[in-house]
Amino acid sequence: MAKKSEGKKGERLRRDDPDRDAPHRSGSDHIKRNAGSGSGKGGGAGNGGNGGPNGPKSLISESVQQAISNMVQLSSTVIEEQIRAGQTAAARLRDGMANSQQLNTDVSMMVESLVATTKDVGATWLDLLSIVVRSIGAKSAGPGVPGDRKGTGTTQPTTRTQTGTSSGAITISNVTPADPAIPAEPPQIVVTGNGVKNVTLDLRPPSPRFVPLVRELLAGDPKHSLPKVKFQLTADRTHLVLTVNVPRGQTAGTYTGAIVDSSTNEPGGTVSVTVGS
Amino acid sequence: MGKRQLGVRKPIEVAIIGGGCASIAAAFELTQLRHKGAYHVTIYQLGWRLGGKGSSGRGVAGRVQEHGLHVWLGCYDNAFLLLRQCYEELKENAKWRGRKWDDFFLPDPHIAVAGISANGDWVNWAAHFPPAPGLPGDPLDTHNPFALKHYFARGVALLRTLLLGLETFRASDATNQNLDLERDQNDSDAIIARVTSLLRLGALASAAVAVEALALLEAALKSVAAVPQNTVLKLMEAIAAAVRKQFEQLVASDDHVRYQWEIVDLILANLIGAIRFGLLTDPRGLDAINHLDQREWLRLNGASERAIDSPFTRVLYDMALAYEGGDANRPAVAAGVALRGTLRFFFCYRGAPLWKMRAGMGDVVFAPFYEALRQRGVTFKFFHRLRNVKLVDASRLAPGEKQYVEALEFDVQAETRGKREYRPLINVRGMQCWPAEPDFRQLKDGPRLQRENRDFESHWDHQRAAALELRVTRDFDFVVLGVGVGALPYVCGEIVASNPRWRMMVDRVKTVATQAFQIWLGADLQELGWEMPPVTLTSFVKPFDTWADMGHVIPAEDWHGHPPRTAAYFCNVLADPPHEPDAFDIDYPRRRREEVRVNAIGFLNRDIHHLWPKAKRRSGEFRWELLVNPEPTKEKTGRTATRSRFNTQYWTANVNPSDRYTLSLPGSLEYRISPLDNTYDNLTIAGDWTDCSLNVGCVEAATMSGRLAAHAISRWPALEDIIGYDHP
Ligand SMILES: Cc1cc2nc3c(=O)[nH]c(=O)nc-3n(C[C@H](O)[C@H](O)[C@H](O)COP(=O)(O)OP(=O)(O)OC[C@H]3O[C@@H](n4cnc5c(N)ncnc54)[C@H](O)[C@@H]3O)c2cc1C
Repeated sequence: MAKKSEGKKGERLRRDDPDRDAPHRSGSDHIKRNAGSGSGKGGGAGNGGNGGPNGPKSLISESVQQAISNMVQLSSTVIEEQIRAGQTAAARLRDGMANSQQLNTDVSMMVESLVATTKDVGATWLDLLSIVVRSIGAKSAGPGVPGDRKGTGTTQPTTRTQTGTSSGAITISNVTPADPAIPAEPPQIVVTGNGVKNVTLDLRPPSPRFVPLVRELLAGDPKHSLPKVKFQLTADRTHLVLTVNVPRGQTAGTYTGAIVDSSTNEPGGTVSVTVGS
Repeated sequence: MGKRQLGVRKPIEVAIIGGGCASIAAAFELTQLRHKGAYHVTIYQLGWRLGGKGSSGRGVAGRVQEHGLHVWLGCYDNAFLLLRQCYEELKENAKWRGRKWDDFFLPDPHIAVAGISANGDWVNWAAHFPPAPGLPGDPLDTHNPFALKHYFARGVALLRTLLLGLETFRASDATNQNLDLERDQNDSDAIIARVTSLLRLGALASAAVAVEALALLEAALKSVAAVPQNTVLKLMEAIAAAVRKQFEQLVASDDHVRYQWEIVDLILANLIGAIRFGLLTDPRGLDAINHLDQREWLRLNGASERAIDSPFTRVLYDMALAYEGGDANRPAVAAGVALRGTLRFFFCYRGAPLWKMRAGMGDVVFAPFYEALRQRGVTFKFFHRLRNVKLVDASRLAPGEKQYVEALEFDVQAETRGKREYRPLINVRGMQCWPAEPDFRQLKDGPRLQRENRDFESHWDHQRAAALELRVTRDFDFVVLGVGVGALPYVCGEIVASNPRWRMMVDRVKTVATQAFQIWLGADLQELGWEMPPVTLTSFVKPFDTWADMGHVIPAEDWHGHPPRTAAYFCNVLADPPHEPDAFDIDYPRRRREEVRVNAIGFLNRDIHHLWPKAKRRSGEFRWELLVNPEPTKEKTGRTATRSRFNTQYWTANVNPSDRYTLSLPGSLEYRISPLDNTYDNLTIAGDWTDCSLNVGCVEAATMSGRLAAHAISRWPALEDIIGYDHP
């Protein structure tokens, strides 16, 4: 029953191989590629298929990075309006939030600064806030960190790292200045006391006026803390040193805390200290 | 490109198989004026209508009968772009004159989700999404929704929406009436109630992004300062008592607080995850997490189990019909696809997040495309079912020559009388529409075919009036294969058997059957007890988790003066049977439809009262008399309608392989093949199942895929002009 017309055999047409057969997905790549295409002629509706370009010239800088930084910026805008804290989470994220632990710590920082501003209201409020802090601590207990990348793409600040040992602890000192005017000099880490396995300092000074202050370091269980971690200047007042003093009998665990500006409370890094059993 | 294009008049023949969104987009692009007629397209479609999974038909009383509920999202830039071009082109067409695309799309700013409350009741949470500038499909250089500012603006809107949801809650919560602190100064209990509530909100939200919590704590502080000392003291005690209870209890006791918290928690988990998994710089973009299920991804990034089980997570699964095998216990959607979809949904919509059609999708989308394409010279061959894509025998290939399609084998399901062109559209209230049945009068042996109750769309109906073989160069130069992925094993047996990539694709890119029903009601939403605006609601109970109010479609129907007050469409997956039906089980679709009927009746009796409390009788049964019979003369009237009244409504079981909804399962996306793939150099594929970048079963993905297929053949549109193709 099949119909087979006896038409002449013509030349078979073929498709050429395409230049590519997959999208360019890389977020940063995407931004670069779109950066110059500001005024693509979108034919848009009404083009009527008349042959003009019938779509936009890829003004689609819909990068996840921007979405995220804007979301976070938005979050902080709300905070600013409401409590005038003036601390923008977006800036910190853009400055190169490296991992979730830092993000969680970051949130902790905000809450901690609220603790400071509400201290005088009374112990009940502090009760409340400590619950908040604890709940954040619980959140940070996530799984491992796959794809442990640093930086967020386009304007990645440079990080300088200095590793060493002190009192048997491995020390890693990173500094990532947000501004080229800030000297990229990793502070020295000096450990006193026993049982410290490692200390990691991740300093991200947001401005040249930044004077770091370490908040109390908390363990996953916030009942345990490590209060004696401080920044000091060397005797000649030219270099910054982080001193970590771990008393005897300190419960084993990883203690993390925020670094803030001593006068503005603006966050600028994290410290983590692992005490072995 | 073929050499014939240069200097030779004879157009390049493109055979497009199937008439769904992807095929139509490909046809539309290949016949754009810019090609100056270089391509002649013939669309081969089984049955009597275009549309595929997006088809609809007009039934009794001109009722719109959808394949399943279809809403378009405000971020469907490709789909709206082409559709708007199509309407523009029809401006001069006598049947369409004066009709604009936005006459047929209703912006819907409301989205609701349903979840189980602490005390086991269903609670609904409706969000109003503020209008975003522009309209979907607007040229991007005007509104540029993807520029830096865009996400910011959308982000503000999103959180404002969240907060507005909160306000609504506060205003309506019985224990928490809009209190005026000054007026209620002495009513310490009232103030305590208010501040306790604020406190709850604050505590919960701050655990996630420290946004609302901090704001609301500040608000609480101010409130405290405004009341007398003893009240402050009492308040403090109350607060202390409240906050000492575990967060768990706070969340459990306050559904709306819980909702708020869940959203914030999910946003945070995604932010954390994006950083953790290095998505910002990964060359695979969000595809880097496609091996993970969405829930798994959220869990890995610290979302609470509550948020993971929340309606806001479920909503993604429900909207994407993401239940493997149609089993409610096997939700699965690839995390990257879900996140991409979510980002686009929230941040890239224009006008409204949802756009509902004011008539059937067939009428609003496929009828105008049919007219516009015909106007451009496209040939339509209805009642043509592809049976086999025949590859050339490898032994006949010249050295270096790629394999290609040598022939397309069809069953001609029915022939037209006098070999005339089949005219598929009917007129309902001045609108060109697809009928729910073929027009048998146009068919040879029409009365017999009608008597035999032929279902030309059934996969199990193998009868044919004739067979047809199309041969390369003689009848076609290029093929666009636009059938659903479920149909591939049946039409591409040779390719699947010989090409491991295709075999893997067919194995891994799974589909799911769906069920849907529509009812027309003699009461409006308020009378049914629904107190929110007309909405699209999802994450409701199975077997019908999604409901859309479609009262706005009724004016397009033909009710002869007695229109119903509203219409409701429901939709969901349909579980697969333990064993596949055999190839000749012609009764299978009927049995599945019967199952849907029973499901729908059970759902109306058992579940709908959670949404429409006034739709049930004292006995608990659904008030069947609410259903409007389109043929009332055939039925005794009165209040005693029984469940048999349901038989006058509409329901469907979408079980044909091609009609099954395409899933985006974790670990499956890498097996998709792109329409740009050139393994067979005269064949390209098109459909929501291809690697088209968006990679989720929706109109926009299908349209993108069709545009890619057109690009594969004609190098137009440029890949950069396929909006969102290069999305991370
Ligand atoms: C119940 C349901 C609800 C949905 N809701 C939405 C929604 O709200 N929003 C949204 O964006 N998307 C929704 N979708 C998804 C959307 O419908 C699809 O993604 C889209 O329509 C797919 O288009 P397509 O061209 O890829 O495939 P299809 O529409 O399946 O097109 C395939 C075409 O090929 C034809 N065909 C198949 N086999 C043969 C053959 N052998 N010979 C000839 N022709 C053949 C079919 O008849 C059909 O015309 C929904 C899907 C379903 C099932």
